[in-house]
Amino acid sequence: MIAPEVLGDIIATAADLAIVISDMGQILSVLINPNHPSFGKLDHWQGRDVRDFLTLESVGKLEKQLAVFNANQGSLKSIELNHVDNDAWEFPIRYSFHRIGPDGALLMLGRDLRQIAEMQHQLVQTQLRLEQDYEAQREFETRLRVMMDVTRDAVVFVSLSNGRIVDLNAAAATLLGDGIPDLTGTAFVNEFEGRKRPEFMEALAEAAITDARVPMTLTSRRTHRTLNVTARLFRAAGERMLLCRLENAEDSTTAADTLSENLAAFYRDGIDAILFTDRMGIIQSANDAFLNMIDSASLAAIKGKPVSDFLVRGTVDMRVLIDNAARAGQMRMFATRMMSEHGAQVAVEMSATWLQSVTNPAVVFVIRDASRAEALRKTGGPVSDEGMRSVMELVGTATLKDIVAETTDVVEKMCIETAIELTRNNRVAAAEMLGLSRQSLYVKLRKYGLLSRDS
Amino acid sequence: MLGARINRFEIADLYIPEVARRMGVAWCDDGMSFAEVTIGVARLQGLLRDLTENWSVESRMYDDGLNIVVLMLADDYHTLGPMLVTSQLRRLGASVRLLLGRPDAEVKAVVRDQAFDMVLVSVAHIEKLGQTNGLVKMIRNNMICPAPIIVGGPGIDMEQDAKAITGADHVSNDVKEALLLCGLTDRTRTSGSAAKEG
Repeated sequence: MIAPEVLGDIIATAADLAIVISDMGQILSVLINPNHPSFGKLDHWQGRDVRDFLTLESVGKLEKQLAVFNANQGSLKSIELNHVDNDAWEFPIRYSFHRIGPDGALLMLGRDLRQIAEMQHQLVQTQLRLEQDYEAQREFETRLRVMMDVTRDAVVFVSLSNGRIVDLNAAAATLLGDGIPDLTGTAFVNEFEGRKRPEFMEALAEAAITDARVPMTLTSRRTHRTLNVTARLFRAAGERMLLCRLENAEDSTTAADTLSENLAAFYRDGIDAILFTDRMGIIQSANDAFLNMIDSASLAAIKGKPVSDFLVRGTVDMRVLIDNAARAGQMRMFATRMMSEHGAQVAVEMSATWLQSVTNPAVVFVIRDASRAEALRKTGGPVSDEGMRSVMELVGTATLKDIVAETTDVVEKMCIETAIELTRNNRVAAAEMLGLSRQSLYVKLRKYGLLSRDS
Repeated sequence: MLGARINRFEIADLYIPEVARRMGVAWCDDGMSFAEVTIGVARLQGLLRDLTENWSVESRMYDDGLNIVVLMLADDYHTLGPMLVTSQLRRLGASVRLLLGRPDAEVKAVVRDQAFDMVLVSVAHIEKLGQTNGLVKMIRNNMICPAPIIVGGPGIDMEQDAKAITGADHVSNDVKEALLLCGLTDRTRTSGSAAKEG
């Protein structure tokens, strides 16, 4: 009824891609819909095995289909196959299978599924972007959480529209006197005494937009503490939100200001020399009393120099002071001598305090003129010179070995005396400074007759 | 399913992958069309997020836990597997960087700049194992602090030599097994927070 050449046209137009294969899977002919040219040329498929142009899974599917076909069992259902061509591009086609002719040829009428594949591709792309956003959000959320945890400022996020607490940190929860989970979602106004919601939120918002940012003074309902609340208004995702910072009024601004004012005045006008150094002993700042003590004209002249430049025993003194301060937090009543720029010496008593700070640890020295006390005290300085002289006198009267043994004793005695002096007769500290056990130090003290100085 | 008192963990770890596997088989048997499978997997992925989001937010950010990166090849679209693995690792207390189909340059930068305890690569198809070898090499060459690289996913199931082909340190389809292979199990949540060097 239909002429064969017309039939070819019909088949080509009815399907997007029509393939005739043998029962073994060899491609006998490929017909591409002339209205659907996007497959390009597939002429090179002819004569090849169709399996060469299928993905691994699709080969399995086709094998099953051919088995059914060759066994002549029932009708063939449609299947979806993924084609590959030169590893480069993959495209899915839904095929219906039709037996044609007695020689076992099989007509595969294919519908192009690339549009669906493209839709899938877009869906996956969107999903990937979404996942990426989630990951980024997770990272930012973690940073926000850590920041909220670590900051000492008590902060509360409050929704302006409903006045409820959206989020708050541990510092804020402590000031308000309840746990974070219990406070989240509650009305912020309820945390304060004697406030009504509408006027409260209005007042907060009002305070938030004025430039001065005057804190509102409120009393916590649970802790009865007076709190200064500073608010900042911002918009996020279409919602107006307040970031409120809470400060304990008793120990906040005014008190802190008085203290720092007094401290500054004491530093400026005080009679004792005050000196700040970094942990290596490099001078950062010093007050006028210190500058007077060392006869220096200006801070600029000594800033950046090590404090050891102005100590008679130099780095030895500096290390003892800083190491003890770093270890114990402070060292006090350390007696030594300061040396002025011109070499004049003055007896002093110093304390060193370690100011703990992660970024910027500092040491503060307070130095007091002790020349009057010095005059009353007599130190055992010359012992060492005597010891040295006696060693020299030994040359000619004893062997080198004996002299060295004697010398060792003298040096040992000098060191122990120095350590005892530096630590103001604190034997635990002296033993530590010398790297000796307490017992060994006692043995040596007894050996050199230094125990008599015991109090 | 929650109504039937099935634990969220089980839904996520057992049911979701099983449903995904069955959909894959159904496509191979032409019981399901391409479009149906696509939509089904998208739903599973949404379900996974709903089920797991609550647990993963409270991760142990201050602990010295494991830091792990989970990757998928750049032109692969099988995201369900890596997402599931990420969710499991996070529940074990690990901090996970998930890189789904990111460009090579980004992957390089991440593995170079950060010190991970383990690198997981998900491969959906056996045909992608060769391509994975390139990714594994690139990661290994760029890591300043070398960490074991483990390849997993359906791609390794049918291939005995997956380890040799991909060049990975280990192959595994089980998160806990992977941690065991790398000697990292003592730093996961289940065994307390004692942070020993693995």
